[in-house]
Parts: sequence; structure tokens; C-alpha cells
Amino acid sequence: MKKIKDSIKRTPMLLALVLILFCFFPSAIITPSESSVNAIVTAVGLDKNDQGYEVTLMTFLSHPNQSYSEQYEVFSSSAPSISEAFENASLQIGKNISLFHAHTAIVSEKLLEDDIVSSLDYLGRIASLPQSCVLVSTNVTSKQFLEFIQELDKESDINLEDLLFYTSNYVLWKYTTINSFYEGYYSPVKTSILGHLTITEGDINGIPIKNVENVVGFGEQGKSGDKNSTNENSSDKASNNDTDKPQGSTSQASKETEQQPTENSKQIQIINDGSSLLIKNGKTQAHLSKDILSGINWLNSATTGELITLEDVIDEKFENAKLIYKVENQQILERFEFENGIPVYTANLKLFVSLLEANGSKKDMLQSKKTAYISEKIRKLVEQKVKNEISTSIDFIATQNCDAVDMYEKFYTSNREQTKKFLQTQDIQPDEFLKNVVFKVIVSLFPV
Amino acid sequence: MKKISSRQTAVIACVLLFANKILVLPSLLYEYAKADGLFVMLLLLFAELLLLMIFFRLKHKFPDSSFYEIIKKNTGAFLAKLIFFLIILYLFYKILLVYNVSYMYFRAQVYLDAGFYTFVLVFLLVCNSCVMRGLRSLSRCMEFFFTFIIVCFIFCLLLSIANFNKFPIFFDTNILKFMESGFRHIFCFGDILLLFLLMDKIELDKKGEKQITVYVLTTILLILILYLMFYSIFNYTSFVHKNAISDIITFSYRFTDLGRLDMVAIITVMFLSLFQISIALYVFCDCFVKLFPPLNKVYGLVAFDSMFLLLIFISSIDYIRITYFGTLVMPYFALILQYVLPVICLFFTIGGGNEKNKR
Repeated sequence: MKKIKDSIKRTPMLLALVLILFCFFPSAIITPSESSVNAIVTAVGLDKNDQGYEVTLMTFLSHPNQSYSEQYEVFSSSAPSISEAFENASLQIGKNISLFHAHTAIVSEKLLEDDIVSSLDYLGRIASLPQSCVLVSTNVTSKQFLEFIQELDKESDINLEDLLFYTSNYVLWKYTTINSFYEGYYSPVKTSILGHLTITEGDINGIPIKNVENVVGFGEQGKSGDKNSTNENSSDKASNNDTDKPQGSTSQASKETEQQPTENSKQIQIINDGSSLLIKNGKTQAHLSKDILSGINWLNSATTGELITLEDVIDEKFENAKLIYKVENQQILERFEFENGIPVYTANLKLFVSLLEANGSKKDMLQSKKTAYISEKIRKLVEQKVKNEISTSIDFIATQNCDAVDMYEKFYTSNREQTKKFLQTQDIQPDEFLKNVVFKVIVSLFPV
Repeated sequence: MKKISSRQTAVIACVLLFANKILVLPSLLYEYAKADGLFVMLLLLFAELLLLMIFFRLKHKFPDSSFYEIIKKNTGAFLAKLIFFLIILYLFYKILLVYNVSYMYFRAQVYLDAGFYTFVLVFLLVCNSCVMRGLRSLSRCMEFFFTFIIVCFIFCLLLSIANFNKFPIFFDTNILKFMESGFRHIFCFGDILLLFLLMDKIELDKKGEKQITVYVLTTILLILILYLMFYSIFNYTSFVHKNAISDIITFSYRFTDLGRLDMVAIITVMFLSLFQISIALYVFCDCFVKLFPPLNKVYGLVAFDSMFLLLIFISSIDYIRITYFGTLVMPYFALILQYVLPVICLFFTIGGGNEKNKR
């Protein structure tokens, strides 16, 4: 005993170690695995329905299988509040809902008719939904959307995260995460841009989903939604679980048979046309088409790879040719000044372009190999086109009082006192500032 | 008694400087002063630097005396005991704050199901044993891990550059808000005071002073970069993000494929929290011994553990209450002990020469 006492006195850390082991080792052994206690949600959908809110969770299932494929299940639950809906969802699946691995949050257009910040508040503050999670809207209910995504995931390599990542990084040229949404929401102009994915029927250029007879209520185009909101969509569970199936090639064959479209199947497509939603005060203000976005993106230095299409070009080398130039690099020199008390934005836009495609006569085709070709006529056409696009886009967002190009903030940062004075004299709010800005854009074209 | 080297002192000063500043404070400062929280931080860190200069002066004047002896000699035994009693309370609350902020952080990032008492058990045991081993062992341990901590911290800052959004709007708040922001969170500063309390255990020469100053300046620079990155990344949403060092690296969408990248931040915070609590607890015990001379540091530890556990068990004190109390009442307390007391001590150094030389 004396020896033990001495060793404790000499090395108290040993006692600490023994005590910690003594306390935690038994509990570590008897504690069930995390995956059996927590449902790992990878995408969460929010809707409004008659009961209040509907929460849809795309959950990763850690079932053992031999195909090395990830298995997902879509669950949903309705309640008067989001926290209660989460509680119900936990009850139904018998696991705690863990949103730490959620990459995507989907909100329906219906939900966006009102301010969604109160809905997102619970998810971010209490349920620990990561702020880096991509926020996307859809025309159908979030539940239907996630069910389509589940089907799409089974059928192909295309997955939602990649789709949104590409759109965010190469179409919108800005993040559309929950944090960026909040940033717009809490900014003086209260404006954010949200990615939008449409799901529609018919033969349109989109991503087709073949096996959709399991998805409830799409025939009504999502208007009615589905009144029964408990987790009825677990029909694929048995068919997806490879442990229940014959193994090897038979399993694969049966899977392929399952994926053949039946007569009752509808041609459902996910359309990612690069359009998005203009959000103000947490609600939808307007739809932004890809053209409008592209006009806005001319003022975003992060943008590259935009295509400029020129129709009926006639110059020294081309005769009625359709030319497509690609912007390889884009530089903007901006100036924010007040001239006679009026805010004037001057942008010197330098576009470094290469000729990508030339459609026209045989002579035109011969010229198309000269990728660095830019004539004076082409310069003028490009300048006109870019200016028109910027003008159309700015007019559109300005009429909505949505400063999606952060013009107020840029003026405020560079010329604070005059910006404040301008707001006071005009008796306007920061979100109305864009309307009063005079745009001067100079476009210069350089061959790459 | 063998003293700790100047490098070990520099490491202790750096570790203490990080205390309470790299998790929730950037967000709290933003609530009052918006992005000017960076300048609040700059101002208060500059005050830390001035405290360090006062410490050097005091150490130069009284090389072998303890802080308690200096106060006792100049103000009398009663006042010295009273001041040290207040310092004990101050340190107790400081440990409580560091512990709770760390607990909230670890709970959010790693141990979702871990309860408050589980954390108490682990932290108390480890920190108590660190105190039992003595200051030299503790400082050697800190010295050993220091490079690793700094490398991890710089790694987090480098990763955050990828998430840089735009420069925040500075000077957008009035002077009253700015000062209020500083005053409300003053309790999170003043960590150099702990060096005053350890001064009789520190070996210091001119070269050592220079070394400590360089280390402290580097730490201040790193903290300021963290704040700049934090406000640049989150801008208007800064008040939402309560775990600054982790949030600046996990915010980005592009990093999600790399899994738990914030493990680097978690490890950094883990080491920093353990060392900060351990050193503060050591100083607590040292002050306890000086206040009650017949007792040794084991009694100090028992007193601390009992107070800590009682407070948690009986009053169910939690993170919200602690931070609320820390911004409402403690600033007055901190202002006197952190700044007024060292300034008064500065007057003790006026006149006369080096105490050692005199002898």
C-alpha cells in the first residue's frame, strides 16, 4: 500500500490516467456504435404543408453490402414547428438526427413565400446544420425533390452535391451556402441569390429520371404535395439491400431490370439551366434567368469561361458567320465616384478571349482556326453585347430593389460620407441605392 | 528553488495570451463593435504589451521577490492578503470561463453526447496532476508542445486564406460602442498578470526580456490575423459563428471532401485549454499558499476542486450565465486587478536601485 501511495505521489498523472480509464473504459465498451444511434443526414428538405412544416431527410444507411454502393433512404415528418418535425422524424426512425454531415438544404418555393430565416434558425443554431451547407430551392416540394435525387443517385453517377458545386462555382460564380444567404440577409441591402433546380415532366433537355413511379404526388406538379407526410417512402429499402439479394451477376441483372422504365413511368427531368432565385428579406423576390445572371457576372472578377455569341458577323475575314468567343480571363478596374452628388460607377472591363467556334461559309470555316482573331467590327459587337447584357441585368435587379451586385457596399466602403449624404438627401434606403447609380462601362477585348 | 527559463516564461505568456480569444470572443466583439472588434483586440493586446513592460520593470527592480512580498512590503500585510484574496476569486472565475468556453467548443465539434460532468472529471484530473508536478514540469511540457501548437495555429490561418471573402467594413461604429465592447470583454484579457504572480519563479535577464517580447509580439500578430480572417470571411454573419478558429477553416464548401479538417483546430484548442487551465490553477494554488501560509498546494487544489464542483452541482452554472456574468460584473473586477494593480506596482519601482544590488 505504501508503495502504491509513493508511486502515486511520484507520478500523479498515472493516477489521473487510471481514473480516466476506470471511468470511461466500461462506458466505451457498452456504448452502441454511433451509426446505430445517429441517423447521418446528408441532405435536408424543408416544406410548408397544412400541418405546418414538413422536414425531409436523406439519410445515409450504414448497411453492410457487397456492391460498395452507398445506401440512402428518404424520411419525412410533419409537425406545427420544425423542432417538433425533427422530434417526430427521430421517433419514426428510432435514431437521433445528426445534421453534421449534411451538405445540402433544399427549400421549396412555397416555403420561400415567407421569410425562411426563422425556419433555418432552428437548423443552424440548435440542430447544428453546417453553415457551409449549400442552400437550394426547387419548384416541387423538397420531399419530392429528394425522392427524385434518391432515384437519380441509384441510376447514375450524377449526384446532387456535384451538380450544386458546379453551378455554384462555374455558373453563379459565388457561393450559395446558408452562410452566404445569411450574409445577404443581414447586409444593409438584405439581398441574396439562391440556386434553383427545377423538376419537370416532358421531353426537355435535362437529367432524366426513369424510375419514378414510387415518387408520390408528382402528377399534380407538386402543387398538392402529399398530404400523408409520414415516412411512407421506404419501399426501396428491401430492394436496395444487397444482403437480401442473390449475389454476383444475378444481383446486378435484377438491379438493371428494376431500372427499366415501365409503361406507367413518367419522363421526369431535373433541369439545371443555371437559373436562380433573387431573395430579399428571406423571401423570393424574382427568378433570375441564366442570361440575367450572365449580365451580373460581367461585373464579377471571379467569372471566367463565359461564352460570347455574335450572330451574322461581316468583316474582312468573315461573311455572315456566327462566332463564339470564350472569355479565358476577365479583369475589372472599378471606380466609385460621386459626380454632382450622383453616384457614378465606372468599370473598365478587360476581356481576354479566344475564338472557340465559327459557323458559316467555307471561307469562314477556314478563318476559324485563327483563335486570336479580333477585328474592329468584332470589338464593337462584343462591346455592345456586353453592355446590353449588363444594362438589362442591372435594370432588372434594380427594379426589384435588390442590390445583388453589392453596389451600395462598394460605394459605402470607398466613399462613406458621400454615400450616407446621398441616402439622406434622396431619403432612400440602402436597398434602393442601385437604382440611382449611373453605370459607365468600358469594354476592351484582347486576344489570348 | 530552481526557476523556469526565459523561454519557458515566453511560452507561458504566449499560451496565456491565446486564452479566451480564439473561440467565442471575435463573435462577441462583433455584436458590439462590428468589424472594429479587430481594433478593440488591437487596443487590449497593446495593453497586454504594456503590462509586460511593467512586469519587466518590476522584475528588474525586485529580481528575487514574489509579487506578494512586493505588495506586502509596500502596502502592508492586510492589504496584500485582501488583494490576493481578490486575485484568487479572479483566477477562479478565469478558469471557469476558459473551461466553459472550451467545453462548449468540444461539445459542438466532437463529443456531442458527452455531459458536463464527464468533462469536469477529465479536465480536473489532468489539470490537478499538472499542478502537482510543479511549474517546471508544466512549463517544460508546454515548451515541448508549443511549436506544434503554433504550427497548427498557422496551418489554420493558412487554410482560412482559401475562404477569404472580402475586407470587412472598418470604422463603422461609434467610439462609445467601441469602448463598451472593449470594457465588456476586458475579463478575457490581462493574462500577463499571471506572470506577475509567478515572478519569483522566473529567471530573467536582458536577453530573456527580448525573447519574451518577441514571442508575445508574434502571438499578438497571429491573434490579429485570426480576427482579420474571421471578419473577412463572415462579414455580416460574424455574430453567428461562435468557434472562430474552427469556423474559418470549415466554412468553405470545397473542403468538405477532406473530412474533418477542423481536427487541426480541435487539437490546437485542446492543448491550449489544458495548458491555460493548468497554469491558472497552479497560480491559484500558489496564491492560496501565500494567503494561508501553513497550507500547501494540495489544500489549494482541494479548495479549488470543491468550489468548482459545488458551483456546478449546486447552482447549475452554465456557459450562458458565466459569459453573461463575465461581461456584466467581472469587467470592473478585472479592470482593478489587471490594470490598476500593475500600474500601482509601477510606482513601487520608482526610486532606489536594484533590490539585489542594494543587498
